[in-house]
Amino acid sequence: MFLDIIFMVLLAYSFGFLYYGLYRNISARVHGRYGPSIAQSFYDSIKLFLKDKTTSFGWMFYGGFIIMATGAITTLIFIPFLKNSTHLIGVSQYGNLILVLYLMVLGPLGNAIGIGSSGNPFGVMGITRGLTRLMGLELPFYIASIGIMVANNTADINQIMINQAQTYNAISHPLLFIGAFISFLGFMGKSPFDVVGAPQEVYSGPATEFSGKFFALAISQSAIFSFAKLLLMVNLFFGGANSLIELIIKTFILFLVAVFVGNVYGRFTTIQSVEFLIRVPTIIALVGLFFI
Amino acid sequence: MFSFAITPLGNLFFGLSFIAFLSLISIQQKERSYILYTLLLSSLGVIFYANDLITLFIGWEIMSWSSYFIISKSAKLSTSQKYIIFNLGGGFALLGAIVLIYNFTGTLIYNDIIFNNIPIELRKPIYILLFITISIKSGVIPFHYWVVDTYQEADNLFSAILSAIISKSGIFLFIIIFTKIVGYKYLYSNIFDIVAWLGVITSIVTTVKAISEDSIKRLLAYSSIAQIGYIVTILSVLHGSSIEAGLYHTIIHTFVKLLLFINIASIIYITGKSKFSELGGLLYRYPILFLLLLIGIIGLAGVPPLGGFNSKFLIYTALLEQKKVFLLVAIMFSSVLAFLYCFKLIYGIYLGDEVNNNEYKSLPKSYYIAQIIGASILVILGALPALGTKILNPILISLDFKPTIYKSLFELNSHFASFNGAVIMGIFIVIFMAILTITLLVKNRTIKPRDKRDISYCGEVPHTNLHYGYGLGRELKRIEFIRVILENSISPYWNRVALITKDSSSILITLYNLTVQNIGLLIILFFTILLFIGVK
Repeated sequence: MFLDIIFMVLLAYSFGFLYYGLYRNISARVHGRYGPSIAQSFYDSIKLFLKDKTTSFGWMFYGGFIIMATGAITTLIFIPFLKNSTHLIGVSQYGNLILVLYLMVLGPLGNAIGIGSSGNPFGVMGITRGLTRLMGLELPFYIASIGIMVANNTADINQIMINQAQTYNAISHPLLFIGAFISFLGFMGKSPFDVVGAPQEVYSGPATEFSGKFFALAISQSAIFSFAKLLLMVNLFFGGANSLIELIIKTFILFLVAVFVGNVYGRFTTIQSVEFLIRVPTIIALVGLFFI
Repeated sequence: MFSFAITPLGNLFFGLSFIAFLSLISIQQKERSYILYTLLLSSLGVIFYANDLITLFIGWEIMSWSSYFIISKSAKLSTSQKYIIFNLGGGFALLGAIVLIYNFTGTLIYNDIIFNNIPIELRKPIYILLFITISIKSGVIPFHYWVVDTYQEADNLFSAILSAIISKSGIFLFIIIFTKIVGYKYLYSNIFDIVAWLGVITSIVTTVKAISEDSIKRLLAYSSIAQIGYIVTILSVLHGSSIEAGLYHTIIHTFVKLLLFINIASIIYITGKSKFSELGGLLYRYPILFLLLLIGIIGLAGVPPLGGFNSKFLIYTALLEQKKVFLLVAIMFSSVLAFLYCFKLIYGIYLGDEVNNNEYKSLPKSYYIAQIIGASILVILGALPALGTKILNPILISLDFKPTIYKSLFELNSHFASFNGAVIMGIFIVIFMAILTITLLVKNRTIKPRDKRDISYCGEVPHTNLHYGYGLGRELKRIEFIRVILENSISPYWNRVALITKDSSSILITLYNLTVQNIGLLIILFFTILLFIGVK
């Protein structure tokens, strides 16, 4: 199990960065630029990790980042990579979907506490935006997850994957899928819900406090966490995967859709995000839930 | 006439009360009236171990009065009056229900009452009277009017008792009446659906109110109402698994609120300040208090790996099992909103910029005891979630429900799903330590900026208070439904009720005031009524 977990983390780390590199490239092409090399974010993370100076504001600042990274990795290993497999399932047999939904909050909590302890008054602005947006994002995603659990009569992710042998949940429960997908765009930090990390607006927000190994930790956990979210969407709505190749293809397609949608839209303000998320995907998901 | 019985349910509630009182009594306070505290604990014992309705009612009244005297020592007259008037109203409603039950069943002893003897058309009024009593004690909308002011103005440590214990007496009454006396099997009524929705609406509304509060104690008061709203909702689902979930949440909430209120009492004792706008940046001065509050808010938010997740999990799975999906959506929404006030609680006091550099009082060690008890229980229940099941199973059996089967103390089972608390806790610790070790092994220097505001202000450090994050939540007013909740309050409606009561009382007073003129009026009124009856 130990090797399984290590392999899962390394896989998520590699593919997370690969996808992020592709995202930067695709966005650049949309903007009419060439963009950096695909592996640039990966090199950045290694370089930042080995920098000889790191600014820290104290033990809680340090601890906050570690809780954030721990949250991302713990979430990842409670989601099985493969359907009905003995490998690449981590510790998913000890958890369930409700646990994963709650573990997803652990990372942002660690981030918020770490940044809060820095005392940067702009940091709290980013956190407030993040937490407020989280309120809007989670609602449709939770409704869709409730719908999936009720339709499958289980909270076990593996069982939900097995039950989709005939039809994917994305097809049999399209309204739930639409609700969850709009939330998922926000969870992935894509437009129009990306105001939290918007450097043009929060000019001195959370990210300016990151340096050296903390910044490396922040971007690495972000890559791992993004892969975990892709994985969860594939497992809940696209029947999971029987092999690693299938998993990569499915997550990649989902990722591409998210990137293209993200590139088309402008950016909502936080309040617009929440209002939109409550009015549109929430209602779509509620209607979907009603018809189960 | 008075009869008592030692039951597993009574043991649980009295055990929680005893631990709460013991940990608070250990904190020395000059102005405390120990007689009233003892009377209050005794009255709780009477309620929890009563075996008949009249004993329960007497315990209920003593509890209301003894807590009123404790509250009135520190609260404004209007607040303590509000407390006692509402609680007397609850007492009267309980008495009314008891009289009706006695009238049709001829007994008050729990096991002898045959509820089926009561005519169907009279059952609803009994339920309504009982729900009024329960809602007043638990602060369910629209009866939450007394709660927030009372919690705020009561002695800082007594607020912990109000939230952790006294509010739970309503929950106890709910369980004892509807399982022991009425019996869940005979119970379906649409009133329970209404109460379930009232519970969840209460939690959403009070959670929104909590987010925008500047006073720490008011925030915690709203949070208490919201959490008890969950319990009322889940109990109203009328099923064995929902009883287990409600009781589990009762245990968690008792310790979480004990921990949080005493933590806040500690901060108020040290600094003399009780508003977010007056506090901030205390993390490095009081790191242990910070860590205890961190454990408290993780428990309150229900985030794994601590025990708070267990009760949330049971609530969600009980609702899933009963296919109450829309109630579940509403509860989950309230839980998500609660993350915001949980963060505000820790940010406003301990994080951000330090507001002033005054020398603060040192904190007596006794303040830590109750907090450490609460935090330890949250950690233990996090690793051994089925310990709660083990405690609750005898209660479920005594109330004629099936016990929950558990394989080991590490695994929490519901009919819908299960998880292993020890694995979650173990994985969390191992990954945390692994990342910590890796980051420590990298040979680079960790430097601390000369002033922590250097980075955000490019070296030009402003000399003003920059802890403006305390206002977190105010911007939410721009969201339509939040604005509606924040701009409306129940107080005008209750003030109108007070006004109507006052006016009708003045008519009665006039009639009692026997002047010649009034006697004349009474005679005319008497004959008018006679004439009216005659015409009919």
